[in-house]
Amino acid sequence: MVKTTVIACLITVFAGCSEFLDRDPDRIFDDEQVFADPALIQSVLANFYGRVMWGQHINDSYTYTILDEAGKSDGGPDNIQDFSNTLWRVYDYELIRNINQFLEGLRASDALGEEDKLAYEGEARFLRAWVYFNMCRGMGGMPIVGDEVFDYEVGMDVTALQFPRSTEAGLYDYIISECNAIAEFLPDQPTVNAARANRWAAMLLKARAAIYAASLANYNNKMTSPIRTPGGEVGIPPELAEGYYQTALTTAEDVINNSPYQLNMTQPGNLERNFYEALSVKVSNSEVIWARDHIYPGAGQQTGFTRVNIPGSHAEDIDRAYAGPILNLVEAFEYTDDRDGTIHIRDENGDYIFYDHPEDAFANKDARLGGSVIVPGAMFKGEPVILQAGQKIWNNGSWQTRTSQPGDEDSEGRLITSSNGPNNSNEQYINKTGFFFRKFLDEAQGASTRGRNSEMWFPRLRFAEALMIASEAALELGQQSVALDYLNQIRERAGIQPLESMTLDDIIRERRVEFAFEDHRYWDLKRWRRAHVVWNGVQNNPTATQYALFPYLVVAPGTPNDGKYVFDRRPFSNSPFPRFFQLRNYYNFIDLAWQNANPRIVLNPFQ
Amino acid sequence: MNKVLLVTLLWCVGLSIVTAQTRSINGVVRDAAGKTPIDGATIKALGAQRTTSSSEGGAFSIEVASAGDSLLVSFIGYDQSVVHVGPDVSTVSIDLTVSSESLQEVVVTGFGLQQKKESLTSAISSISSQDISRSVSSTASGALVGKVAGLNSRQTDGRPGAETALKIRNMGTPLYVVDGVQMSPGQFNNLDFNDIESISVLKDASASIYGVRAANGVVVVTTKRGQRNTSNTINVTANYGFQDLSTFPKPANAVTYVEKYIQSETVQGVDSYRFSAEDLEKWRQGTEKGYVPFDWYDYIWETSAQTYLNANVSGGSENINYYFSLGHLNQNDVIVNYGGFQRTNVQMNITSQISEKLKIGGSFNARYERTQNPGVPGGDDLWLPRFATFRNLPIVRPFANDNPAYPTLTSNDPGTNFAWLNYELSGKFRETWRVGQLNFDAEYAIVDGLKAKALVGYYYAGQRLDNHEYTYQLYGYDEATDTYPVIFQNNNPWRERRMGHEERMNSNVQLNYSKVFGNHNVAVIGGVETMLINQPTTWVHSIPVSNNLPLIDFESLDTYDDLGDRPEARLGYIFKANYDYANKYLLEFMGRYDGSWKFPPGDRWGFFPGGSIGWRISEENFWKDGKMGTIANDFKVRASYGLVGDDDLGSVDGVPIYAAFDYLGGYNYKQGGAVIDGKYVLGTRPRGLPVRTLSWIRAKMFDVGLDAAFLDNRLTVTLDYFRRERTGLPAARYDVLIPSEVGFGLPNENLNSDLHQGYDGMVRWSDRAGELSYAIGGNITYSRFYDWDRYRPRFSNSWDEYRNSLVHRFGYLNWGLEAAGQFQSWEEIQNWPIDNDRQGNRTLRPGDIKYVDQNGDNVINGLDERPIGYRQNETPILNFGLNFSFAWKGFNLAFDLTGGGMFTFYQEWEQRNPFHDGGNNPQSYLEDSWGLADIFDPNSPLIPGKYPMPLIGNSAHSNYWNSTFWKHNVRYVKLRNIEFGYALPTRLLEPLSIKGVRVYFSGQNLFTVSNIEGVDPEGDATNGLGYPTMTIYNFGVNLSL
Repeated sequence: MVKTTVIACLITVFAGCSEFLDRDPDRIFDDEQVFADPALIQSVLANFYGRVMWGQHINDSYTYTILDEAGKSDGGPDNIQDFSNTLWRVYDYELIRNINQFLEGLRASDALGEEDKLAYEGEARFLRAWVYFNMCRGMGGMPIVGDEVFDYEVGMDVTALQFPRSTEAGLYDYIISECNAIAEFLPDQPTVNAARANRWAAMLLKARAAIYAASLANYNNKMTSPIRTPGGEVGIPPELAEGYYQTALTTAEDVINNSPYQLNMTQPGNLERNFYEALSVKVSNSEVIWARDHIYPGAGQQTGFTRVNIPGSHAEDIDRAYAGPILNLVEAFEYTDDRDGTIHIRDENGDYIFYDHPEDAFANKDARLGGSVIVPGAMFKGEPVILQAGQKIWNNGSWQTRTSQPGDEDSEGRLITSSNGPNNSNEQYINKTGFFFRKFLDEAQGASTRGRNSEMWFPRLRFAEALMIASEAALELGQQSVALDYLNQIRERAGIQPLESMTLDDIIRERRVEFAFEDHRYWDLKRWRRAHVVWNGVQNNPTATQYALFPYLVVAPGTPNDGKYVFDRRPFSNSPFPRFFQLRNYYNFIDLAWQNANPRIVLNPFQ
Repeated sequence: MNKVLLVTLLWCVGLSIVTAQTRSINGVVRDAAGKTPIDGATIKALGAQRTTSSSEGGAFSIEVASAGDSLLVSFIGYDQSVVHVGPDVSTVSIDLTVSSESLQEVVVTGFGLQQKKESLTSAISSISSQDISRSVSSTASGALVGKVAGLNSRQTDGRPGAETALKIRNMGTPLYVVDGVQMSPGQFNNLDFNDIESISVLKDASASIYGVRAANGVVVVTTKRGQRNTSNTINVTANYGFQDLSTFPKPANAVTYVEKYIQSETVQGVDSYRFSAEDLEKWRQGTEKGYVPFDWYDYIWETSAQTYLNANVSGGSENINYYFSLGHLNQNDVIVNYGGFQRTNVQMNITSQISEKLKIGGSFNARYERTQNPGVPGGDDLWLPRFATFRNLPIVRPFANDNPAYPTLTSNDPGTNFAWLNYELSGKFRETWRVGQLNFDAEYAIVDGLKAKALVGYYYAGQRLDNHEYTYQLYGYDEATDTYPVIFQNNNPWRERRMGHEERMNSNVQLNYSKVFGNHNVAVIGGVETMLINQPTTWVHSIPVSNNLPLIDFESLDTYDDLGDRPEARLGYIFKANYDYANKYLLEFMGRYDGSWKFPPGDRWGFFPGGSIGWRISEENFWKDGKMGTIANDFKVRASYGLVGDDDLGSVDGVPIYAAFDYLGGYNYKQGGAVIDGKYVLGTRPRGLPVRTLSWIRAKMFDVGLDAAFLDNRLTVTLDYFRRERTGLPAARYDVLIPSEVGFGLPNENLNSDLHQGYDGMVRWSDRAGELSYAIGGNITYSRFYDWDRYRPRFSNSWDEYRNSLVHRFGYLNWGLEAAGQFQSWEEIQNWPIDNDRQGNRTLRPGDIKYVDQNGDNVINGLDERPIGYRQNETPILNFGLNFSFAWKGFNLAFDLTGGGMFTFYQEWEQRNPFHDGGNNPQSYLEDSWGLADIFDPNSPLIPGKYPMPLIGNSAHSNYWNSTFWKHNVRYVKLRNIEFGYALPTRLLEPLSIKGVRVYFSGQNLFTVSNIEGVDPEGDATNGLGYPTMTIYNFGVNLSL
């Protein structure tokens, strides 16, 4: 009896168990489930919005130290000199395929009304155009793969999948035509915190693509040997310049005249504050058209920029002072009545100029300096940011420098080196440039802690850019007065004198200070073919070498200068090599693996 | 308190044993070979349940059951002997043979099967409880190091409760099976190893009976069970030990630091010195306020305690045998004010013979683990104290104005002031695991030789991790007002909790048949095994409103992460057959048909066969009768070959190459996302192409070996050569020109292969000289990894092939420059023809490192790199152990030397970069570097040293390039375990009804010899700041009742 039972049991056990191995995954949906549910459709779109951060941005402070805007203060010197062949290279065909999958599913979905479907389609295609734009400005023309979703079967004929590279002009044209096509699908009102694309985001992207194409067509061909490939994958014919400039101008003017946006003017009585709020405050912002928004709480939806860059004296957690703006940028800002922005630290005899307060050296500057950079002695969150490299001691007719451990005082109780720095050392968490970031530095409580981080957004498209594009395009089209009108709107908000005539150099300088830390300068200098001139790799060339400004407390008892402040200008110790942008850097290298996989991909010049 | 209660309980159990009619007999115990008497041997009458010991001359007298009884006689260094005494016997003479790796020893071969060692045809190492227990390690893996041939080991981290990485023949993480249930390494490690009866290490094709997870070999653990018909025995073991850092670099002292800093500033030509000559003099005096040095090493590290207590009771009646054990381990951190690791283990095993045919058993294994320490910033709470030892300079002190109420800012990183890293100021981290494994097994004898067995197991492990990191303030001191202003305020309170459990359900049903037909021995087994795992876990984070509030509220919560159930399911059918003829020709076949949930339906199943053969030459008459027979009493050659699987296809940067359900397309919820419309919208990401081209890895394991015993088993030898080739490693067919612009990569297929090859072996000599019995043994494991076949490798030129090829080559070659001494003078640098620093030698100074210009192009660059080292972060290629044991009367001494070689340590960061990030370097480094005779005069004569002159911010200099100067091929020997004990003579204990008392001293890592300076040779942290292994001095007592 028992015997039979045992054997019966055994047979049962040994037999069918095939379903035992079928288990359900925790979080995988199939296509049908996704496109039957509006919440999931939006969730897919949110995934795409989270995947389009490239170039310089606040989630990667290191990217600010590569150019001539900021220097790394964390630890010992970097060796930055050359630019990488793949710097900020974008090649995200996986995202393009994902967007195409989404479009395919969306168009077949009956979970949404027609209007909503078109709005989603518009956003998805905007993001796809944005991907192409980011690829194009790095590498030139790249394959345009359309809307098709490709699949793979072992043994299939793959030659049908081999797309050649588009011409550089052709890809900008595609971006422009996509922006045109979706403009009607997208809403024309601002979105919450500018986080979603609307009609004006599409228009400004179109204007940007047009001005890039125009300046490439123009300035590349003015080089002694223009950079181009025989097939036009790189290099736009000069005769196309005018048309692109025209497109840029009319599109930018459309944004200027017809959009609900304007230059932010929330603090007319305090233009520094006003400029800070234009970029760094989301509430009542009338300027930003499209941004990456951040929020707390939410996994990975904050930025650590404030945490890693906050001055030590204001830090709320361990991290601080990763990087700071350099003197090169500070001096690019004009004085209200003097276009030479050099900080006055020595008089005509070469003697020190003495300031009662360190911040006095930056008085009468372009308001955007105070809105973008914390200068020594400036206030942050109601408390001054003390930057002091040491003391200058008057000793028998010469100046002696005295420095100390950060935070130490002398026997009289006067500060020697500030706990913030700056100093020359390989210490972590001590400033080494003499300045801190203000743009994008969050004033909210807890924004610099590891447990919370910051909700600061990162604007990508804003109204001021429309003005700058319009001004540049008008200038190149010979409409000087139109160009001046747009440019002076920008300058007026900055509180500096209007210009009466202008050249491209004025555009270059204005864009540098207006858009500092906003991922423009590198691409701008490339499209004007100026990068190899500005960053020529020559030691002590003032535009290629990085500089710092060190404030000192004067210790000269019995003299009127005792207790005042002086400044030393010095090469930035933490990045000793000049920036060297070579002709090969105008276009990222094409990865040989892409060419191996697709023989129709041609390589870029100098490769 | 609890311990007292426990002992009392165990007493009660002991007293309830019933006694029977007895009579007295006399006897003598002798050495079998020399016929010399043995004094102090233990004699147990199994029936009468009495114990005594032999006195001088080996004589003893004992009460035995009148109807006949069995005597169990044991003595250290000898095999146990059981002698039956009939009802009419009144004197008995017992001869004991010197113990060796006995051929009659039974080895567990997996799946609940056992085989005598003499008939084993596979490469299986085994180790018994006696050898395991000779360790004061806190984990089971630590207790195995150096004791078994075929195991590579490395303990890279010595924190309380830390495990030692064990690799069978370097093949990757093995599968662990405890009492028939597949387990993870962590579960194995946290068994109380005193509850382990034996461990078998399945190194070759014998592992194939475990199928799709056995490609890296299998460690099979059997826990202790009581013996039937034995008296109840209570065993109590208590240990108290002191632990200390085995090795940790000492930071430079204040004077050395200041001198070297000044020297650097002199050489680098600063306009203002940070330290003046007066400052230096004051630091040398070290007494003036503000100039009193501080020893951070001494402030942070301390000697701390490790305690262990275990009580167990075992025994059996005619139909029931049992083993109950309760153990508790407490291992503290050696960091001042820190907590440590605690573990309480329970083991209960009972087997009952219900009827002649049916046997039923149950076992329960449970434990409670707790790790606790202050809740300090950063992911690893034990990092900051280590970092603080070097980041804080010896010229700063932890408290403002030395007032212990006011911790101050001691470096640019506020977290490094050790003064606030304690429970009061920084909070608390606590992780607990509550684990229970319940097994039920039954065995039924169907007909003669045919048995059915079943095992059902349920495992539950609950994790709770609570971490609360406080906000804190650091203070300065204002002398004028005698106040302590806050100079730094941390406003980042951090509260997290992880709650989860892992649940495993196992079943295992088998049919066994074994029968002897004359000279033909046959054993066949078939079975089926299922395994189901669920592991739901959630993690929450909040920003608490107060340091005093341990509760988490919804209002302060900002993250709730639900990781899901993450199910796993596996199912396998097993077959195994053994045949031998006259115990001479041995043959074994096995196979497993195994399925894993990971792969798509219809493609889930794999067949993994294996087989082995053996020939016991010593059983042949020509051998037995010849001269060989007198020398070698046993000689066996054997070979095995088999196929095993691995459903874990590896990972790249922590992301699995093939994850469960990768065969599905569709969308992943909760991946990425963005803030849109002012709200965080969780992302849903398209999954990409479904992977249907990838399956498990196949490992072909080959082993050939011999087992031999010489001179009456006094010398035993085992030697194995092995080769494992794994095919089917994932790679893509990149020659299929699928453009990357289609937006997906080519799917991986099973294309590449790799290889492990090497040998392992052991040799042991055991003998007796007079009253001294001793055994000396050694084992060695050498296993080399090769990258083998690649899918159609392509190279653009011969240099590319030389540098990057992975075809049929040693794996993980460590490339770098070859250092060739140091420049001795300025003249030498001036005349040096080779551009040594790629700056025209402008940056060089005497003392700087010279490199070999391998390709003769007069410039040192990447083309001069050559293979200079082995793999860095894995177990060594070579491991060995030497085991010694001596016993004399009641004394015993045993120790193990273990060592390793052919692995690489790279000295970086604090160990290499001068004044790294504003912190300190080791004293041994700074004081033995090139320097100036007068540190304020850059032109003063140079004083040579071992290291280049340390210059601030110079870490990118050619001196610090990757070269043999900093990359070391490590060799080491450690005195891993030592035990010296004394067992009190039984005759003293008998009147007290105590069976045995033994006191001992044991130690771990009492000394280390290695070729690297200042750091633990097993460590792998390139900054030298890994938590080192511990030196432990331990005192213990063992009591048997």
